[in-house]
Amino acid sequence: MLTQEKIRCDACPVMCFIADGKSGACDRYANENGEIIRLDPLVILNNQIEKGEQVKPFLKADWNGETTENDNTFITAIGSGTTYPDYKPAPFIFNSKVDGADFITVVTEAIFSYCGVKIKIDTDRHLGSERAIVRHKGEAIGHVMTSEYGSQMLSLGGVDHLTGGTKVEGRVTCEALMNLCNKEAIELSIDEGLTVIVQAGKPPIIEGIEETKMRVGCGSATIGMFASQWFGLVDEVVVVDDHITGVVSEHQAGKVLDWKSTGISVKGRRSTPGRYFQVANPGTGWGGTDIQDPLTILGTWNEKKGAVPGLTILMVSTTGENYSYYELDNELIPKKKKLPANLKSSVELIKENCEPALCTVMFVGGAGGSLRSGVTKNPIQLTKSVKNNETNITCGGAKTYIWPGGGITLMVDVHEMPDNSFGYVPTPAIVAPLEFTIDRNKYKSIGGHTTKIRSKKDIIENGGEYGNKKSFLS
Amino acid sequence: MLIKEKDNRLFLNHGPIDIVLEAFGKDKPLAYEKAKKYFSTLLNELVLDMDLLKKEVVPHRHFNNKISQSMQNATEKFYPDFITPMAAVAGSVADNILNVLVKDTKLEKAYVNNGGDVSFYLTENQTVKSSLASIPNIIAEIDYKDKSRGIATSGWRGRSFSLGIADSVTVLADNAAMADAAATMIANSVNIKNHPSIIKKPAEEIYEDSDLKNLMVTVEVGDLKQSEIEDALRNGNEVGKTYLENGLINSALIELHNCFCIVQKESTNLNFINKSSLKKINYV
Repeated sequence: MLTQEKIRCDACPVMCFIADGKSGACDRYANENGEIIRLDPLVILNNQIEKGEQVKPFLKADWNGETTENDNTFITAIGSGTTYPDYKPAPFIFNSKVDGADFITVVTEAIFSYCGVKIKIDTDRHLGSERAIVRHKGEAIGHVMTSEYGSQMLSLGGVDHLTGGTKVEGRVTCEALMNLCNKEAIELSIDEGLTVIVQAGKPPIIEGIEETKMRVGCGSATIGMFASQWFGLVDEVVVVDDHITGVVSEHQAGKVLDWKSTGISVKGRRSTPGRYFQVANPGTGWGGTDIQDPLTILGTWNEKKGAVPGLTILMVSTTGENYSYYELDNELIPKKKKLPANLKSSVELIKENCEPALCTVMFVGGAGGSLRSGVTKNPIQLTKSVKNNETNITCGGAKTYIWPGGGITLMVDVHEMPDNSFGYVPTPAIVAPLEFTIDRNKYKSIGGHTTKIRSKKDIIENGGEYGNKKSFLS
Repeated sequence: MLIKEKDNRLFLNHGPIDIVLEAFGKDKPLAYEKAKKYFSTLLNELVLDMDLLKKEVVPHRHFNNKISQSMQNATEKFYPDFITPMAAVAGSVADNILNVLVKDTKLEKAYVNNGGDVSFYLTENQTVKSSLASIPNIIAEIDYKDKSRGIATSGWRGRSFSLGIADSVTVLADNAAMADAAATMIANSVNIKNHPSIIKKPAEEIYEDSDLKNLMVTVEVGDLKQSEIEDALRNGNEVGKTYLENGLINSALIELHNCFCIVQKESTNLNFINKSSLKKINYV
């Protein structure tokens, strides 16, 4: 007789010794054929989610008795468990009709030990230099990539941090990835840089201050966008920006309108005409600088180059959140005046063109390995079918982007996925839901496990192999 | 490990421990910080004593770990009846987290719910109300003047094993550890010997590391005659009364199939408000 394989679960310090087919004291982890799996229930993702309604975890007890053969309910892989790395069919393979055609969906949870996330943080603030180490709880979990179009890009996770470093590094990386993917807020600190709290779909909190708006563009770009609207209404416009401060009378966008010179002088390093670097230090004042009074970036006004008493000046930040209006007095000193209504609308326009600053978390994982065996007996056929757009891959019901080139490297916006879609195994590795949907005939032709196809109704009523009643600890 | 604050409550999960707690009062943030810190090492320290805690209780054993000592204190009261300190693990964890919450903080009220075993703290004019999941329309209400600061539920349908057939036994006691241990013991005593509708299995066949080893635990209870139900409940009622007289518990509610009975001193206020349709049985 074969002896049943018992294994020790190291998900928590209780270290349960679990026999095949049984679960541990927590009821969350179980031994399935010698592999520790997670037992959380399946999630049924209805099209309702798009209407903002809550996604409910799957439990037979909560089922209201309706069948779902003909509605838009989609069964996600969240909590479905996995048969990986056993080369056998995925936990759920079911048939459904979409616009009259038969489609097969293969539902599994995948274990990603090489995965990572790419984060886009909408801020102009200098979070850290390119290649600087990003830490969570003191452990290196990734690095700063690039500053792109008013956002800072980070890359976290990947095989080197998950399994290539120390055990603690792997565990902390795994925890950070899971929490980020589950739309939780986590604190990241960047070596020789700032500390930022990142949460998918929420504004970043940088050194304790919440970022609200993305600027419309740099100061120079703002001049370019709005110069013609200011022309004739005001004699000079300065757009204050930590990166590039723009001056309309000197800027190319002003030149093409024959904008008259004003005798203005701006502190900082002049780049090309009308564009100035480093007018002040970075900070939380105007346009990401440390200044509170914008006049401090201006020098004396030169009469010979066009400065005259009564000349009007608009100073505005790249988000339109700060603005001031001045007139030169008889000594050519700017005096603050009320902003005329016709200029006010251009300031409002800058504001209106600024988008809310958010954090975007993209999960990147590979589905091109042995996991494919759960879908088909001939794995390369699945890869080809994905590349030909015959097989659609979703993550917890959310659409994915599949990278060109070898393998099945997918990217998904975690914000589109139901809450708490992700889990982990102590390997350490991230557990994420995957659903492969394919036309029934195609599924047969790529060597799919056609004998394992079940109806949606059957899955909803009877669930999977796991999830029996268990009760432990006295 | 999961530590999460949401809707004013703190959620703590590590392995088999699942806690929801809430504090009311001006020191709530401080109390939560203390609870989080305490929880981060709690299970790692507790498992060090696990071997002894899974053995049958022996009086006067000393533990350095406060949770282990709470488990010992609650369960040794039942000696020489069979019980292991594990019978009070959930309540003891709840009590000790509550102690951390309220020590040196200004709070009006707090509760720590560890998977249904609840430890709570009340100041003057404060009350806790708890509806019993097993019997929807029964509410246990405890106010400041009552002695009880712990409530726990046991039964074969719950997460813990039971030697008996009670669907649920809910106990109010001075602390959650005692409520937990007593609920386990009362539930074990609600029993019918060798009944064909009752299916039992050795505990370790279901869960390898169970402290109950090869003791037979209930896995299924089928149809019972009304007289059998009442006899089984009576056993529980008798045991509950002994615990009540010895000052171990303050109240108990025992439920089996369509019937339930309440054990408590006549002088005490009725803490269970009954609006359910179940049949209440009064044993004299």
